Amino acid sequence: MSHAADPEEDALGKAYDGRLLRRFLAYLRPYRPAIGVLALFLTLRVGADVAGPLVLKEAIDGPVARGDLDGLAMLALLFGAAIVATGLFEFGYSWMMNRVGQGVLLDLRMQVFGHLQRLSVSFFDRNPVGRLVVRVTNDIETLQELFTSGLVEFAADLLMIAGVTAVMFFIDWRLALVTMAVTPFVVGAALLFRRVARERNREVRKRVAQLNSCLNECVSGMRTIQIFGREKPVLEKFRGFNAEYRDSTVAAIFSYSLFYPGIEILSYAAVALLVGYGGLSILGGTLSYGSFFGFWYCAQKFFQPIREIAEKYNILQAAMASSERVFKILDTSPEVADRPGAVPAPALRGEVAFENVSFSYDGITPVLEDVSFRVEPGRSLAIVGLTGAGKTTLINLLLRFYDPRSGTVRIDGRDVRDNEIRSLRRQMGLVLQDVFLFAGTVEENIRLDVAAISRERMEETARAVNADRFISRLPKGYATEVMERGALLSTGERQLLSFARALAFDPKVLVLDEATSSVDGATEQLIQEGLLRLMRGRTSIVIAHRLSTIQHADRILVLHKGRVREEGTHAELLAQDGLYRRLHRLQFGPGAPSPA
Amino acid sequence: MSHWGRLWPLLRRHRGAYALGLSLITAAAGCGILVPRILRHAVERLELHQATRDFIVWSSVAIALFAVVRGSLLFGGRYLILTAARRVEYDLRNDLFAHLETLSARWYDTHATGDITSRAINDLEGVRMMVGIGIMSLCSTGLLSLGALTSMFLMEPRLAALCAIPLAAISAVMAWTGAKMHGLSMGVQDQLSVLSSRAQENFSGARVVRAFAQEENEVARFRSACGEYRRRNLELAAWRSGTWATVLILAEAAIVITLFVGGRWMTEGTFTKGRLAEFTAYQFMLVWPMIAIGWLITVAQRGVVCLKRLEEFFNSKPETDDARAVAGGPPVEGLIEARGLSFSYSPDRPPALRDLSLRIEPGSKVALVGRTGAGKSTFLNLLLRLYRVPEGMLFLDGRDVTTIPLAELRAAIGTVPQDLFLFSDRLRENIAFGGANGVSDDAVLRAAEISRLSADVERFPGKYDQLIGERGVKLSGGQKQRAALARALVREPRILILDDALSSVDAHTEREIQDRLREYMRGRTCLVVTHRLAAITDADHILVMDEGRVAEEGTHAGLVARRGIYAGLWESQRLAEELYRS
Ligand SMILES: Nc1ncnc2c1ncn2[C@@H]1O[C@H](COP(=O)(O)OP(=O)(O)OP(=O)(O)O)[C@@H](O)[C@H]1O
Ligand SMILES: Nc1ncnc2c1ncn2[C@@H]1O[C@H](COP(=O)(O)OP(=O)(O)OP(=O)(O)O)[C@@H](O)[C@H]1O
Ligand SMILES: [Mg+2]
Ligand SMILES: [Mg+2]
Repeated sequence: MSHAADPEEDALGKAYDGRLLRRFLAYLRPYRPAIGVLALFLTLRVGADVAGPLVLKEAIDGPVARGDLDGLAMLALLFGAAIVATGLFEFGYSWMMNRVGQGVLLDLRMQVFGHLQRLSVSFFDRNPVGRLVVRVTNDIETLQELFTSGLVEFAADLLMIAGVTAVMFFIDWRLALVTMAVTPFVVGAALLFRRVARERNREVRKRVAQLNSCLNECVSGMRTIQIFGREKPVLEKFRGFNAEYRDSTVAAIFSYSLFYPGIEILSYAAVALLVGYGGLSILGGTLSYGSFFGFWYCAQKFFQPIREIAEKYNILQAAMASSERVFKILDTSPEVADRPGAVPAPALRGEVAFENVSFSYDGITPVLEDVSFRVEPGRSLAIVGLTGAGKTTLINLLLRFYDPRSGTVRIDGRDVRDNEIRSLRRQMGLVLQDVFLFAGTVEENIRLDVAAISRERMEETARAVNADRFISRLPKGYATEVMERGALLSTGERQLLSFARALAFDPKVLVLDEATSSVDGATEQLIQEGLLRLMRGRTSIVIAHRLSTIQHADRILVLHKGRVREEGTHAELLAQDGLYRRLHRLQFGPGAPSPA
Repeated sequence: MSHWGRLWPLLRRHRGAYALGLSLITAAAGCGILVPRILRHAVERLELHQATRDFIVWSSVAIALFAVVRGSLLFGGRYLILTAARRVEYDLRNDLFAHLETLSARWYDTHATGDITSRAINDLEGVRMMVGIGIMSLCSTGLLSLGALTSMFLMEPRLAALCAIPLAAISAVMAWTGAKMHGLSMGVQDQLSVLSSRAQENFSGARVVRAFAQEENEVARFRSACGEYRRRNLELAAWRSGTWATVLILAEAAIVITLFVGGRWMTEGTFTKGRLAEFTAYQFMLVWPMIAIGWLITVAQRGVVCLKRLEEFFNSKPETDDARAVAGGPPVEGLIEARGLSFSYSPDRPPALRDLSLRIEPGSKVALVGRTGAGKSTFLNLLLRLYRVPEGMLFLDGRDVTTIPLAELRAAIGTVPQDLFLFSDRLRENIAFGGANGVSDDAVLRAAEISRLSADVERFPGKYDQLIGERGVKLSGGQKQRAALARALVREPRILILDDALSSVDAHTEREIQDRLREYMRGRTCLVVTHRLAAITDADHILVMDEGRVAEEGTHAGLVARRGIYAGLWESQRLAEELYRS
């Protein structure tokens, strides 16, 4: 749970608002018509709204002064109509804004999610799941605010301010100038606040992601925490992350609390100026009472949008901080990607070859060194070796989870990098050493939503791996929910399901990484028999520590410390006095001496 | 406990900050209420031609002064309340986490991680908004409007009463739409959890998704969840916008009434411009609160929904607790006994254990074998009391396990679970995790030596400080298992449980580990579950499980001679050998 040290989080480039905004604006392009309607509603709304002060001025200077009751009634009616119109346009505008906002939200979220689907396995090795979840949920949620509170309401508020300003100048330009003397201070406060708030919000986003990773991991590993009785220390650790998050937010509150009251003071200052200068003007006879009231109303309408901006400014700053993070994901390019000009693979024959392949995960420790071998189409190769020898790594390269540092992996004689990744993977079936099942039904886990796999095919493969026995005993058979990672099944049962899944896709190349390590010997025997029939004519690569699993393999490769140590048929290898013979003797000759 | 009952003590804990903050805000509201009076005096004097230049200037200065005082008070109040809310959030999240730590395996079996984390982050945020900015705005706008309304009534009761009509209508509208929006917010929040869980699954299963080229399907599934999320949000937005527009109309309607009625009175000479100024000033004061109330209601609603959703978690009770526990028993010896133990994970599933009886002597090495799904892990889960154990069926040292405090029971047991979990921490911390606080480096090294992890560690650039990635992704399968084994070993338990703990380890390393374990296991009860029978030929006793009960038991030789299930399993491995020979 060392979420604290995280270079990726700190290495965030300082992006400029301008660039972020421009980038964000691109997402609005598809919504241009809707935004047009929105702008129309908005303009109408502002127009209707600023009519109020004018009517008020007219009423007081005209009918009220003259004692014209009918005229007063007329103006009141007009006033009422303007208000109703304001309300209706407000509804239209707000509804359109939400429509566009939710649309942008959906597009952006799908883009990020889609992009994550293109990123390589190594990206997921580095980035905790919890953090990525925060990116596609919270961060994008906040980003929507960038559109609603940020762009649209900001534009609305500016328009409103402009409208009110125009009316004020129309009523009395000198008083308008005096009242607006406070605006430079408002702008200054906003700029100052922005600088402070951005830094703080960056910190907050970072901490919330850390907190979520910690939480995510603790929840996933809760059983482990409980059986080791480590609840207290883990709670302490969690408290630590929680406190860091709290402190980062409290630091942000200080500047935020300062901003809103600051604006409030400035709005009253404007009123003070209005009373002072306006009063003196009335005294001097250069201002009518009606204009004074009109102004008074205007000043309210002038500061209301500013107050709203102030209230939402923090959200906006948070949104900017989120956008940096979200765009950073979008800017990550996959380490393993289709080469330009890669073509879809044709139907495979199933020949697999490694040529002088070397690989290292971190660039320091070599994991595979100069590995070469070849599997004829339709044949099977077993890979054995001590734990940590690099067997799974070999498979990772074959499926292009990673690309080798040097050397070539070939399928049907072509470099795998010359074909589109997915077109190759579609023709291969893999059982991972770390079984992963999705929260869903048994059926969904075997077919993975692919309509191409018929029910018969699914049941046939389940029978072949002997999974039908336990599936038939589940309360709803194939429709039983297995929950996250298959929590409701025994470990062996999970393995059988993931085995069935690999077979259901009718692969030309089947790759089994310890596919039956948690299955009992008798069941394994049955699987082997079923498999012999199903796998005829297909290439298979089988990794197993239990040598009975690989009894039918045509050839055996012994991998040791990242190098090919021995290769041959079972009989050939037994004839040599090598690692294979030692492993074999340990498993099948109970009395055999332990190897030196 | 009701959801308010949960929140109350936390609010109380910060009552000082809340009380002070709210008083500052009250004072600020008071300052706000005074400004219209100054205004009226100024206008009235002007009307009566009594105003001097000095009087006007001083009125203006007085307003500015009140503004500064009001601003400072607001700042203080805001800061206090918002920070207090963060502290409440912090406390509540800690409470939630502490509660999550008590919940049992079955609860975790049926709750998605994404949902749990979503509530602990997003819903808690909703609650925080309610008790922070929500309470603050309620107080400041509430007081301001109360003050304004009272002043209006004191000043001009008839006009105030007329103006109160649209205000009353606002409350009615809010009450009506509020209930509707409450349900809708709940739906939105639920769907956000769904999104979280979907994303969570996809990222955790990144390899599977890629291996099976399922990216497009995943995108389609996620899109449909997002689409639903948008639909719910839009429905909520429609209601919200409608309410908001209605409130806006009604709030401004009051100003029209004032103008119309006040204007008539003025022509009749019973109302002055100064009074009109004061009255409308109060009304302007009311507009902002009315607007804010729409937003406030959203905040409050979301807060309540979130609180309820959290309360669902708080109300889940652990299945296993210390209710029947008798503390202070003698140290655990390691005699395990099951007497007619039956257990079923859920009513619609066949029992995983049926009338299981067995006896494991302290200090012996006992193997548990059987086909996949026979109930081996289930038995171990019950021994650890991860699920609710029926009373009077499972005993440790003759004590019913349900009467042994959980901490005491689990302290005596070291486990390598079948689906092991490692933390994204350093290797050293992962191993030390098994012991009580303060495991010495020596102990870690010793455990790594026994589990033969030490040889691999030599090759890691960071040695024992190597970061192993989430769930240990940076380790090989066998390395993970051996790290988990080392973690169980540093615990120095009375009872060691190895549930298929070496299934990803080769025969050579396995033999090395066994040779080292032999010494370690002396005097400890050791329960080994395995599918590799060669590894347990030396066990003191072998229990063969089938369909949730012990079908056969004895020593290796005895069982092979019986020609039953065990002999069959054994043969399946011999068979392989013969195939090779042929
Ligand atoms: N994602 C990764 N990042 C960094 N190092 C890794 C990663 N995966 C594996 N390694 C390292 O590479 C080496 C080879 O691992 P690999 O998983 O290929 O072994 P293996 O032969 O499959 O072993 P096992 O039989 O235990 O599964 C190990 O030392 C391991 O620590
Ligand atoms: N959490 C659970 N909820 C519901 N049913 C479960 C749960 N865990 C296991 N089961 C079911 O209980 C039965 C026994 O499972 P158990 O995990 O004890 O088997 P096992 O003997 O350990 O098998 P394996 O050798 O595959 O590990 C299985 O049929 C399984 O489907
Ligand atoms: Mg492996
Ligand atoms: Mg099991």
